[in-house]
Amino acid sequence: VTAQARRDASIRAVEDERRRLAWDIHDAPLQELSGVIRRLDDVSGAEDEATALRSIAGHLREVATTLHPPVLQDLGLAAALEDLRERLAATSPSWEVVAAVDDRTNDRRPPSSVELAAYRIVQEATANAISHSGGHRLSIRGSVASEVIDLRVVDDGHGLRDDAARAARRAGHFGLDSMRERAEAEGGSTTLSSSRDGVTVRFRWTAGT
Amino acid sequence: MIRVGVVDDHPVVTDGLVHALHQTSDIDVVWIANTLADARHQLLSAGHVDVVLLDVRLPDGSGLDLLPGQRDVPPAFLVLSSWDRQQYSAAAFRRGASGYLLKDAPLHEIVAAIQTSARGGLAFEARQLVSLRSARTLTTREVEVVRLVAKGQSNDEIAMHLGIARKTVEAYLTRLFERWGLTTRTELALWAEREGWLDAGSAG
Repeated sequence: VTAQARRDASIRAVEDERRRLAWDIHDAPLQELSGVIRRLDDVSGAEDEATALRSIAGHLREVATTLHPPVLQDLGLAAALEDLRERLAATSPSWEVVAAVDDRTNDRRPPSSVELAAYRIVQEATANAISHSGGHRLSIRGSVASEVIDLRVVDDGHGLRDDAARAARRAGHFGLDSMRERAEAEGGSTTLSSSRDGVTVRFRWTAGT
Repeated sequence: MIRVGVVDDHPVVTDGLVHALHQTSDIDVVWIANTLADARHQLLSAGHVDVVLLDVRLPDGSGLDLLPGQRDVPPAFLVLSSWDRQQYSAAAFRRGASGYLLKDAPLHEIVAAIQTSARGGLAFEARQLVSLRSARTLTTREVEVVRLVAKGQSNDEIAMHLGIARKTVEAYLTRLFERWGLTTRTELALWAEREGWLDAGSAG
Protein backbone atom coordinates (compact mmCIF):
# COMPACT_ATOMS: atom_id res chain seq x y z
CA VAL A 1 0.00 0.00 0.00
CA THR A 2 1.46 3.33 -1.04
CA ALA A 3 1.61 6.39 1.19
CA GLN A 4 -0.87 8.13 -1.12
CA ALA A 5 -3.36 5.27 -0.88
CA ARG A 6 -3.10 5.31 2.91
CA ARG A 7 -3.64 9.08 2.94
CA ASP A 8 -6.69 8.80 0.67
CA ALA A 9 -8.14 6.04 2.84
CA SER A 10 -7.69 8.10 5.96
CA ILE A 11 -9.34 11.18 4.41
CA ARG A 12 -12.30 9.03 3.40
CA ALA A 13 -12.54 7.46 6.85
CA VAL A 14 -12.64 10.91 8.46
CA GLU A 15 -15.28 12.18 6.03
CA ASP A 16 -17.40 9.05 6.44
CA GLU A 17 -17.31 9.51 10.19
CA ARG A 18 -18.25 13.19 9.92
CA ARG A 19 -21.13 12.35 7.60
CA ARG A 20 -22.36 9.65 9.95
CA LEU A 21 -22.23 11.98 12.97
CA ALA A 22 -24.08 14.72 11.07
CA TRP A 23 -26.72 12.20 10.05
CA ASP A 24 -27.10 10.95 13.63
CA ILE A 25 -27.62 14.49 14.89
CA HIS A 26 -30.25 15.07 12.23
CA ASP A 27 -31.95 11.74 12.68
CA ALA A 28 -32.30 11.55 16.45
CA PRO A 29 -31.86 14.68 18.62
CA LEU A 30 -33.13 17.18 16.05
CA GLN A 31 -36.26 15.14 15.32
CA GLU A 32 -36.88 14.47 19.01
CA LEU A 33 -36.53 18.16 19.79
CA SER A 34 -39.12 18.94 17.10
CA GLY A 35 -41.45 16.45 18.77
CA VAL A 36 -40.96 17.94 22.24
CA ILE A 37 -41.40 21.49 20.95
CA ARG A 38 -44.61 20.41 19.22
CA ARG A 39 -45.97 18.98 22.48
CA LEU A 40 -45.13 22.23 24.26
CA ASP A 41 -47.49 24.02 21.85
CA ASP A 42 -50.28 22.52 23.94
CA VAL A 43 -48.93 23.78 27.23
CA SER A 44 -49.87 27.31 28.13
CA GLY A 45 -47.03 29.34 29.59
CA ALA A 46 -44.37 27.10 28.04
CA GLU A 47 -43.40 29.49 25.26
CA ASP A 48 -40.09 30.41 26.91
CA GLU A 49 -39.13 26.76 27.16
CA ALA A 50 -40.08 26.16 23.52
CA THR A 51 -37.99 29.15 22.46
CA ALA A 52 -35.01 27.88 24.46
CA LEU A 53 -35.35 24.43 22.85
CA ARG A 54 -35.52 26.01 19.40
CA SER A 55 -32.28 27.74 20.16
CA ILE A 56 -30.71 24.37 21.12
CA ALA A 57 -32.00 22.88 17.87
CA GLY A 58 -30.33 25.76 16.05
CA HIS A 59 -26.99 24.95 17.70
CA LEU A 60 -27.33 21.29 16.76
CA ARG A 61 -28.04 22.27 13.16
CA GLU A 62 -24.87 24.38 13.17
CA VAL A 63 -22.79 21.48 14.51
CA ALA A 64 -24.23 19.02 11.98
CA THR A 65 -23.70 21.50 9.13
CA THR A 66 -20.09 22.08 10.15
CA LEU A 67 -19.45 18.34 10.20
CA HIS A 68 -21.03 17.72 6.82
CA PRO A 69 -23.06 20.31 4.90
CA PRO A 70 -26.59 18.97 4.40
CA VAL A 71 -27.10 21.16 1.35
CA LEU A 72 -24.28 19.31 -0.43
CA GLN A 73 -25.91 15.95 0.08
CA ASP A 74 -29.49 17.05 -0.63
CA LEU A 75 -29.06 19.68 -3.35
CA GLY A 76 -25.59 19.21 -4.86
CA LEU A 77 -22.33 21.12 -5.22
CA ALA A 78 -23.52 24.35 -6.86
CA ALA A 79 -26.19 24.91 -4.19
CA ALA A 80 -23.68 23.99 -1.46
CA LEU A 81 -21.22 26.63 -2.73
CA GLU A 82 -23.98 29.25 -2.73
CA ASP A 83 -24.75 28.12 0.83
CA LEU A 84 -21.04 28.48 1.69
CA ARG A 85 -21.18 32.03 0.34
CA GLU A 86 -24.12 32.80 2.63
CA ARG A 87 -22.26 31.37 5.61
CA LEU A 88 -19.10 33.37 4.81
CA ALA A 89 -21.11 36.56 4.33
CA ALA A 90 -22.62 36.02 7.78
CA THR A 91 -19.38 35.12 9.57
CA SER A 92 -17.08 37.60 7.75
CA PRO A 93 -19.23 40.69 7.22
CA SER A 94 -16.28 42.87 6.19
CA TRP A 95 -15.82 40.67 3.10
CA GLU A 96 -17.74 40.95 -0.12
CA VAL A 97 -18.26 37.37 -1.26
CA VAL A 98 -19.68 36.46 -4.66
CA ALA A 99 -20.70 33.00 -5.83
CA ALA A 100 -21.55 32.39 -9.49
CA VAL A 101 -21.43 28.67 -10.14
CA ASP A 102 -23.24 27.36 -13.18
CA ASP A 103 -25.16 24.20 -12.27
CA ARG A 104 -25.24 21.95 -15.37
CA THR A 105 -25.96 18.71 -13.55
CA ASN A 106 -29.66 18.30 -14.39
CA ASP A 107 -30.53 14.86 -13.02
CA ARG A 108 -27.00 13.42 -12.94
CA ARG A 109 -24.53 14.64 -10.37
CA PRO A 110 -20.79 13.96 -10.08
CA PRO A 111 -19.86 11.17 -7.62
CA SER A 112 -20.50 12.30 -4.04
CA SER A 113 -16.82 11.85 -3.06
CA VAL A 114 -15.84 14.27 -5.85
CA GLU A 115 -18.51 16.78 -4.85
CA LEU A 116 -17.25 16.63 -1.28
CA ALA A 117 -13.57 17.03 -2.29
CA ALA A 118 -14.46 20.04 -4.46
CA TYR A 119 -16.49 21.56 -1.62
CA ARG A 120 -13.69 21.06 0.94
CA ILE A 121 -11.09 22.57 -1.42
CA VAL A 122 -13.23 25.66 -2.04
CA GLN A 123 -13.97 25.89 1.70
CA GLU A 124 -10.23 25.75 2.47
CA ALA A 125 -9.35 28.26 -0.25
CA THR A 126 -11.97 30.76 0.94
CA ALA A 127 -10.90 30.36 4.58
CA ASN A 128 -7.27 30.97 3.56
CA ALA A 129 -8.21 34.06 1.57
CA ILE A 130 -10.15 35.53 4.47
CA SER A 131 -7.43 34.78 7.03
CA HIS A 132 -4.28 35.59 5.06
CA SER A 133 -4.81 37.51 1.82
CA GLY A 134 -5.40 40.99 3.24
CA GLY A 135 -8.09 41.62 0.62
CA HIS A 136 -11.80 42.29 0.97
CA ARG A 137 -13.40 40.70 -2.09
CA LEU A 138 -13.70 37.03 -2.84
CA SER A 139 -15.39 35.16 -5.64
CA ILE A 140 -16.32 31.52 -6.22
CA ARG A 141 -16.92 30.92 -9.91
CA GLY A 142 -17.10 28.12 -12.41
CA SER A 143 -19.35 25.29 -13.41
CA VAL A 144 -20.44 21.85 -12.24
CA ALA A 145 -21.56 19.09 -14.60
CA SER A 146 -21.84 15.35 -14.00
CA GLU A 147 -18.50 14.64 -15.74
CA VAL A 148 -16.62 17.94 -15.56
CA ILE A 149 -16.04 20.37 -12.69
CA ASP A 150 -14.08 23.60 -13.00
CA LEU A 151 -14.05 26.01 -10.05
CA ARG A 152 -11.99 29.07 -9.19
CA VAL A 153 -11.66 30.91 -5.91
CA VAL A 154 -10.23 34.39 -6.48
CA ASP A 155 -9.32 37.02 -3.88
CA ASP A 156 -8.12 40.61 -4.31
CA GLY A 157 -5.42 40.49 -1.64
CA HIS A 158 -1.70 41.10 -1.88
CA GLY A 159 -0.88 37.68 -3.38
CA LEU A 160 1.74 35.19 -2.25
CA ARG A 161 5.39 35.90 -2.66
CA ASP A 162 7.36 32.71 -3.27
CA ASP A 163 9.31 33.01 -0.04
CA ALA A 164 6.11 33.78 1.88
CA ALA A 165 4.39 30.78 0.33
CA ARG A 166 7.31 28.52 1.24
CA ALA A 167 7.40 29.81 4.79
CA ALA A 168 3.65 29.43 5.12
CA ARG A 169 3.77 25.89 3.79
CA ARG A 170 6.52 25.00 6.24
CA ALA A 171 4.36 26.41 9.02
CA GLY A 172 1.44 24.31 7.80
CA HIS A 173 -0.60 27.32 6.68
CA PHE A 174 -2.60 27.66 3.48
CA GLY A 175 -3.27 23.96 3.29
CA LEU A 176 -1.99 23.92 -0.30
CA ASP A 177 -0.67 20.42 0.01
CA SER A 178 -3.88 19.14 1.52
CA MET A 179 -5.94 20.76 -1.25
CA ARG A 180 -3.71 19.10 -3.88
CA GLU A 181 -3.90 15.73 -2.18
CA ARG A 182 -7.64 16.03 -1.86
CA ALA A 183 -8.00 16.72 -5.58
CA GLU A 184 -5.57 14.00 -6.65
CA ALA A 185 -7.34 11.39 -4.55
CA GLU A 186 -10.39 11.93 -6.80
CA GLY A 187 -8.42 12.14 -10.04
CA GLY A 188 -8.64 15.93 -10.18
CA SER A 189 -6.16 18.75 -9.69
CA THR A 190 -5.76 21.90 -7.63
CA THR A 191 -3.54 24.68 -8.92
CA LEU A 192 -2.65 27.97 -7.34
CA SER A 193 -1.56 31.10 -9.11
CA SER A 194 -0.64 34.35 -7.48
CA SER A 195 0.06 37.88 -8.56
CA ARG A 196 0.13 41.25 -6.85
CA ASP A 197 -3.61 41.42 -7.56
CA GLY A 198 -4.43 38.36 -5.49
CA VAL A 199 -4.51 34.59 -5.43
CA THR A 200 -6.50 32.19 -7.61
CA VAL A 201 -7.09 28.60 -6.54
CA ARG A 202 -8.49 26.41 -9.28
CA PHE A 203 -9.98 22.95 -8.96
CA ARG A 204 -10.54 20.83 -12.05
CA TRP A 205 -11.91 17.37 -12.43
CA THR A 206 -12.96 15.28 -15.44
CA ALA A 207 -14.60 11.89 -15.10
CA GLY A 208 -12.52 8.85 -16.01
CA THR A 209 -9.11 10.52 -16.01
CA MET B 1 -62.21 21.23 6.37
CA ILE B 2 -58.67 21.11 4.99
CA ARG B 3 -57.55 17.55 4.20
CA VAL B 4 -53.87 16.97 4.88
CA GLY B 5 -51.36 14.19 4.12
CA VAL B 6 -48.11 13.96 6.11
CA VAL B 7 -44.84 12.57 4.71
CA ASP B 8 -42.18 12.04 7.41
CA ASP B 9 -40.29 8.98 8.63
CA HIS B 10 -39.93 10.06 12.27
CA PRO B 11 -42.85 8.94 14.47
CA VAL B 12 -41.82 11.46 17.14
CA VAL B 13 -42.49 14.20 14.57
CA THR B 14 -45.64 12.83 12.96
CA ASP B 15 -47.26 11.88 16.30
CA GLY B 16 -46.72 15.36 17.70
CA LEU B 17 -47.86 17.06 14.52
CA VAL B 18 -51.00 14.98 14.08
CA HIS B 19 -51.91 15.44 17.72
CA ALA B 20 -51.38 19.22 17.53
CA LEU B 21 -53.24 19.62 14.23
CA HIS B 22 -56.09 17.53 15.59
CA GLN B 23 -56.74 20.33 18.12
CA THR B 24 -57.36 22.84 15.34
CA SER B 25 -60.89 22.84 14.07
CA ASP B 26 -60.43 23.09 10.32
CA ILE B 27 -57.58 20.62 9.63
CA ASP B 28 -57.98 16.88 9.17
CA VAL B 29 -54.91 14.64 8.75
CA VAL B 30 -56.13 11.85 6.47
CA TRP B 31 -52.93 9.90 5.88
CA ILE B 32 -49.31 9.57 6.98
CA ALA B 33 -46.56 8.16 4.76
CA ASN B 34 -43.10 7.19 6.05
CA THR B 35 -41.35 6.79 2.70
CA LEU B 36 -41.32 8.37 -0.73
CA ALA B 37 -42.83 5.21 -2.23
CA ASP B 38 -45.60 5.17 0.38
CA ALA B 39 -46.31 8.86 -0.28
CA ARG B 40 -46.64 8.23 -4.03
CA HIS B 41 -49.00 5.36 -3.30
CA GLN B 42 -51.14 7.47 -0.93
CA LEU B 43 -51.31 10.33 -3.42
CA LEU B 44 -52.62 7.99 -6.09
CA SER B 45 -54.98 5.90 -4.03
CA ALA B 46 -56.02 7.60 -0.79
CA GLY B 47 -58.41 10.17 -2.17
CA HIS B 48 -58.13 13.90 -2.39
CA VAL B 49 -55.99 15.96 -0.05
CA ASP B 50 -55.59 19.73 -0.13
CA VAL B 51 -52.12 20.00 1.40
CA VAL B 52 -49.20 17.58 1.76
CA LEU B 53 -46.68 18.26 4.57
CA LEU B 54 -43.38 17.02 3.21
CA ASP B 55 -40.08 16.18 4.91
CA VAL B 56 -36.89 16.49 2.84
CA ARG B 57 -34.88 13.46 3.97
CA LEU B 58 -36.72 10.20 3.59
CA PRO B 59 -35.34 6.66 3.81
CA ASP B 60 -35.74 6.03 0.08
CA GLY B 61 -34.80 9.43 -1.31
CA SER B 62 -35.41 13.16 -1.24
CA GLY B 63 -38.89 14.49 -0.50
CA LEU B 64 -38.13 17.30 -2.94
CA ASP B 65 -38.45 14.70 -5.72
CA LEU B 66 -42.16 14.54 -4.92
CA LEU B 67 -42.64 18.22 -5.79
CA PRO B 68 -44.71 18.72 -8.93
CA GLY B 69 -42.71 21.53 -10.58
CA GLN B 70 -45.86 23.64 -10.80
CA ARG B 71 -48.31 25.16 -8.39
CA ASP B 72 -51.59 25.32 -10.31
CA VAL B 73 -52.90 21.81 -9.52
CA PRO B 74 -53.78 20.66 -5.97
CA PRO B 75 -52.57 19.33 -3.63
CA ALA B 76 -50.21 22.02 -2.39
CA PHE B 77 -46.89 20.74 -1.04
CA LEU B 78 -45.68 22.47 2.11
CA VAL B 79 -42.11 21.45 2.98
CA LEU B 80 -41.44 20.91 6.71
CA SER B 81 -37.70 20.47 7.14
CA SER B 82 -35.01 20.19 9.81
CA TRP B 83 -32.68 22.54 7.95
CA ASP B 84 -32.94 26.31 7.94
CA ARG B 85 -30.61 27.01 5.03
CA GLN B 86 -31.96 29.34 2.37
CA GLN B 87 -30.87 27.01 -0.46
CA TYR B 88 -33.53 24.51 0.63
CA SER B 89 -36.39 26.98 0.51
CA ALA B 90 -35.11 28.31 -2.83
CA ALA B 91 -35.03 24.76 -4.24
CA ALA B 92 -38.48 24.03 -2.78
CA PHE B 93 -39.85 27.21 -4.35
CA ARG B 94 -38.33 26.44 -7.77
CA ARG B 95 -39.77 22.94 -7.71
CA GLY B 96 -43.30 24.08 -6.98
CA ALA B 97 -43.70 23.87 -3.19
CA SER B 98 -46.29 26.16 -1.63
CA GLY B 99 -44.06 26.94 1.34
CA TYR B 100 -41.08 26.02 3.48
CA LEU B 101 -41.00 25.87 7.28
CA LEU B 102 -38.82 24.41 9.98
CA LYS B 103 -40.32 21.41 11.77
CA ASP B 104 -39.96 23.17 15.09
CA ALA B 105 -41.80 26.31 13.94
CA PRO B 106 -44.58 27.39 16.33
CA LEU B 107 -47.86 25.58 15.69
CA HIS B 108 -49.68 28.79 14.80
CA GLU B 109 -47.18 29.35 11.97
CA ILE B 110 -47.63 25.82 10.68
CA VAL B 111 -51.42 26.12 10.84
CA ALA B 112 -51.31 29.49 9.06
CA ALA B 113 -49.03 28.01 6.38
CA ILE B 114 -51.40 25.06 5.85
CA GLN B 115 -54.37 27.42 5.52
CA THR B 116 -52.46 29.67 3.12
CA SER B 117 -51.34 26.66 1.06
CA ALA B 118 -54.89 25.27 0.91
CA ARG B 119 -56.07 28.61 -0.50
CA GLY B 120 -53.41 28.40 -3.21
CA GLY B 121 -51.12 30.95 -1.53
CA LEU B 122 -47.42 30.91 -0.73
CA ALA B 123 -46.01 30.34 2.76
CA PHE B 124 -42.30 31.13 2.64
CA GLU B 125 -40.51 33.14 5.31
CA ALA B 126 -40.30 36.87 4.84
CA ARG B 127 -36.54 36.93 4.35
CA GLN B 128 -36.95 34.38 1.57
CA LEU B 129 -39.63 36.29 -0.27
CA VAL B 130 -39.51 39.87 0.87
CA SER B 131 -42.70 40.73 -0.97
CA LEU B 132 -44.61 38.36 1.29
CA ARG B 133 -44.10 40.40 4.41
CA SER B 134 -47.84 40.37 5.06
CA ALA B 135 -49.68 37.76 7.11
CA ARG B 136 -47.55 38.28 10.19
CA THR B 137 -48.59 37.35 13.65
CA LEU B 138 -46.72 37.68 16.92
CA THR B 139 -47.27 35.81 20.14
CA THR B 140 -48.00 37.76 23.31
CA ARG B 141 -44.49 37.05 24.57
CA GLU B 142 -42.90 38.26 21.33
CA VAL B 143 -44.90 41.48 21.60
CA GLU B 144 -43.69 41.94 25.20
CA VAL B 145 -40.07 41.50 24.12
CA VAL B 146 -40.46 43.89 21.17
CA ARG B 147 -42.09 46.56 23.35
CA LEU B 148 -39.22 46.44 25.84
CA VAL B 149 -36.70 46.67 23.00
CA ALA B 150 -38.57 49.71 21.71
CA LYS B 151 -38.27 51.27 25.18
CA GLY B 152 -34.51 50.96 24.84
CA GLN B 153 -34.03 48.17 27.37
CA SER B 154 -30.99 45.88 27.14
CA ASN B 155 -31.32 42.11 26.89
CA ASP B 156 -30.40 41.81 30.58
CA GLU B 157 -33.09 44.30 31.55
CA ILE B 158 -35.67 42.56 29.40
CA ALA B 159 -34.71 39.20 30.90
CA MET B 160 -35.07 40.63 34.42
CA HIS B 161 -38.35 42.33 33.55
CA LEU B 162 -39.93 39.17 32.12
CA GLY B 163 -38.26 36.76 34.55
CA ILE B 164 -36.58 34.70 31.82
CA ALA B 165 -32.97 33.92 30.87
CA ARG B 166 -30.98 36.39 28.80
CA LYS B 167 -30.27 33.64 26.27
CA THR B 168 -34.00 33.19 25.84
CA VAL B 169 -34.39 36.91 25.13
CA GLU B 170 -31.58 36.60 22.57
CA ALA B 171 -33.32 33.61 20.99
CA TYR B 172 -36.57 35.59 20.64
CA LEU B 173 -34.74 38.49 19.04
CA THR B 174 -32.71 36.30 16.68
CA ARG B 175 -35.91 34.72 15.52
CA LEU B 176 -37.68 38.06 15.04
CA PHE B 177 -34.70 39.50 13.15
CA GLU B 178 -34.56 36.47 10.90
CA ARG B 179 -38.27 36.33 10.33
CA TRP B 180 -38.55 39.96 9.29
CA GLY B 181 -35.13 40.34 7.70
CA LEU B 182 -34.04 43.02 10.19
CA THR B 183 -30.51 43.59 11.47
CA THR B 184 -30.68 46.11 14.34
CA ARG B 185 -32.79 46.81 17.43
CA THR B 186 -33.62 50.23 16.04
CA GLU B 187 -34.99 48.68 12.87
CA LEU B 188 -37.03 46.29 14.98
CA ALA B 189 -38.45 49.16 17.05
CA LEU B 190 -39.33 51.18 13.94
CA TRP B 191 -40.83 48.14 12.26
CA ALA B 192 -42.86 47.37 15.37
CA GLU B 193 -44.17 50.90 15.53
CA ARG B 194 -45.19 50.88 11.88
CA GLU B 195 -46.95 47.54 12.36
CA GLY B 196 -48.84 48.78 15.40
CA TRP B 197 -47.28 46.20 17.72
CA LEU B 198 -46.53 48.87 20.31
CA ASP B 199 -50.16 49.88 20.77
CA ALA B 200 -51.62 48.77 24.08
CA GLY B 201 -53.76 45.69 23.84
CA SER B 202 -52.48 44.49 20.47
CA ALA B 203 -50.98 41.07 20.92
CA GLY B 204 -50.46 40.05 17.33
